[in-house]
Amino acid sequence: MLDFLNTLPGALALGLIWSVMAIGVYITYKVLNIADLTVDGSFVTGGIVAAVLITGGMNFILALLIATLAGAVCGLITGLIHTLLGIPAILAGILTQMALWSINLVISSGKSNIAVSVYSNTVIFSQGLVGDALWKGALIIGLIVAILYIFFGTELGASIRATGNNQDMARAQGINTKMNIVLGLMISNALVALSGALLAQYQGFADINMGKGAIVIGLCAVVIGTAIMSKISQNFLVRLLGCAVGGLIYYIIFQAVVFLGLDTNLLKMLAAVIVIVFLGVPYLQKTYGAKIKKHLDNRKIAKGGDQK
Amino acid sequence: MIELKNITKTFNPGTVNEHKAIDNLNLVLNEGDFVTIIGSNGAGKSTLLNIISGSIDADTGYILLNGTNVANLSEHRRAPYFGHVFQDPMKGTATDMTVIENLALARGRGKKRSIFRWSISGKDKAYYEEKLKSLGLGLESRLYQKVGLLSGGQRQAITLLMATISQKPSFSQIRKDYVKFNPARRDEAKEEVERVYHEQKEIYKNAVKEIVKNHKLNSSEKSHKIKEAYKAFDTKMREYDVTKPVLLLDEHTAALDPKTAAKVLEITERIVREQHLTTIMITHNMNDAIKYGNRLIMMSKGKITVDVSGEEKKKLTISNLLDMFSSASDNDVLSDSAILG
Repeated sequence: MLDFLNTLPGALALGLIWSVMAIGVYITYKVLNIADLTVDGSFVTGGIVAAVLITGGMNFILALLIATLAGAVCGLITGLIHTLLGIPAILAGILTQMALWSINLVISSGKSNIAVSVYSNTVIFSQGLVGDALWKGALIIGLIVAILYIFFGTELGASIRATGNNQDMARAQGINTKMNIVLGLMISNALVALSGALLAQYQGFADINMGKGAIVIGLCAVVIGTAIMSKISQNFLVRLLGCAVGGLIYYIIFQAVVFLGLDTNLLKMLAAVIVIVFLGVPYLQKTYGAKIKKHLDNRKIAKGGDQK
Repeated sequence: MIELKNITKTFNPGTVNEHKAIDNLNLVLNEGDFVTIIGSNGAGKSTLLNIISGSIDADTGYILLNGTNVANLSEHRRAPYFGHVFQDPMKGTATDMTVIENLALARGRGKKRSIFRWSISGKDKAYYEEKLKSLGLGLESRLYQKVGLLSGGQRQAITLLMATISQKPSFSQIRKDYVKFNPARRDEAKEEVERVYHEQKEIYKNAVKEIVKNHKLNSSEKSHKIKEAYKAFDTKMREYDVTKPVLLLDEHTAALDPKTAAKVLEITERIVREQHLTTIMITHNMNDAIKYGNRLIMMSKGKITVDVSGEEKKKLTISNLLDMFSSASDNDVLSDSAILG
């Protein structure tokens, strides 16, 4: 048990880093109502851009900013493919993700793995100093949540929420829905790339494969977070924080499962199963819950048992 | 004034499913006209409204709004000039957002959505409350509730409000738009609106001076008088506001129960009357078509077949409307009257 507790800070630090990407996924999946698969690619783009720049001697804050902007560009590409060419959002995301695989390799000059050593580079945090990573990660999450909360309270932010909610209504109210979708995708992927850039520094390397299944982990955090936090409040701030909480819970579960000795090759399947359960159970409850309850009630009545 | 010229729309051209929805249609609506449109299913009524609002592009034709063609503007660019209320109560509001957020979105119609302004500011609350109170549905106490929690009738009433509350343009915007929407006599229009503006401004300034000088009044009376003077100035300038939204109602009460439908129609009528809005209302209810508005149009196969207004419309009854209907659309009389009767 003590061993498990010892690994917890590390899990929490990873959870915080992935929470940044979960918030990005939340913006597309919940706010814009789009399942955006670009993230598997833009996550890597963020990691690789940061790794290349930092090992090239750039200041890590500047490198993080540039990696974030690179993510925004990835979102821009998906957005334009979707809105200008009329390709469904999910396919547009897959296409960009595909293209990013090559682009990421070009950025890393063909290397599939770039080491960001803490000994020869200055990085924001690393897994050698978990406490450091924890407070910095929490601070970053706090900043992002605050900025997003303020942004979605402005006229522009509200119009993006309306776009995701009801496009017919948004257009009838003079909102440029196409522009808003592109903007939302850019913000989302910027956060995802930031998350990738943070992870590359934390784990000490960027890998061309580090984004595989990232969308599922992001979705996992979002669905866990919303399921828990929506019980507390429907407030937008609470829901954003919920993504962070979801990310943390995901990594605690992850750590617990590893500790219990599950084959790590099965972890991706576990993530997929969590998403399926969290999305599927509410649906089953909605469609069959009432029917089953009625059926059971009828049985009770038929037995003459519970007739008060 | 809104003018439709040679509007044509064919769906699925060149296929077996080819369907001419609007067939070379011409229509002129005067300022303040309240037109009801009736016609069987597939006559092209909704298509016509969607073409006006921009959610469907016409194949040919012009839509002139006070002389300016808006047919090439995309839907969101056209939105400031049209308020569209759909048949489906789900379509007109953002259900995950609160009542006040929805109203704020509508109020910003036609303005740039800025990142530097809050979508709702504290001082707007009273304005929205007052507007909701005018609906008489008790919605003013539910300002911070999600629209998704409201009933269909309440939502339609809010959509109606949203279609008609676009923010009052500033005086400089009014002057600019007035010139823009009178392209044929641009210089003349500019001179006219500028002259009126400066005249009224002078009158207002002088009135304020008089009031301030007047020692018989106490301060609250003074501020009251100044407000009145400003209101007169404001009212005069509003006469030149050409971009007052044209209200497009697409069977907006069809999905409601009879009692709620009657209530929503009553609210509609009051808003249209109070704001002198040019309105087009599609309805399947012949009684409503006769009762409301000053003009009635009947459509069949993408054409206008009957167009009555004024005194003639007031004398209409359901039976002679049905007669007109059968003579206008001679082939499928039976199905049409069965649907409409």
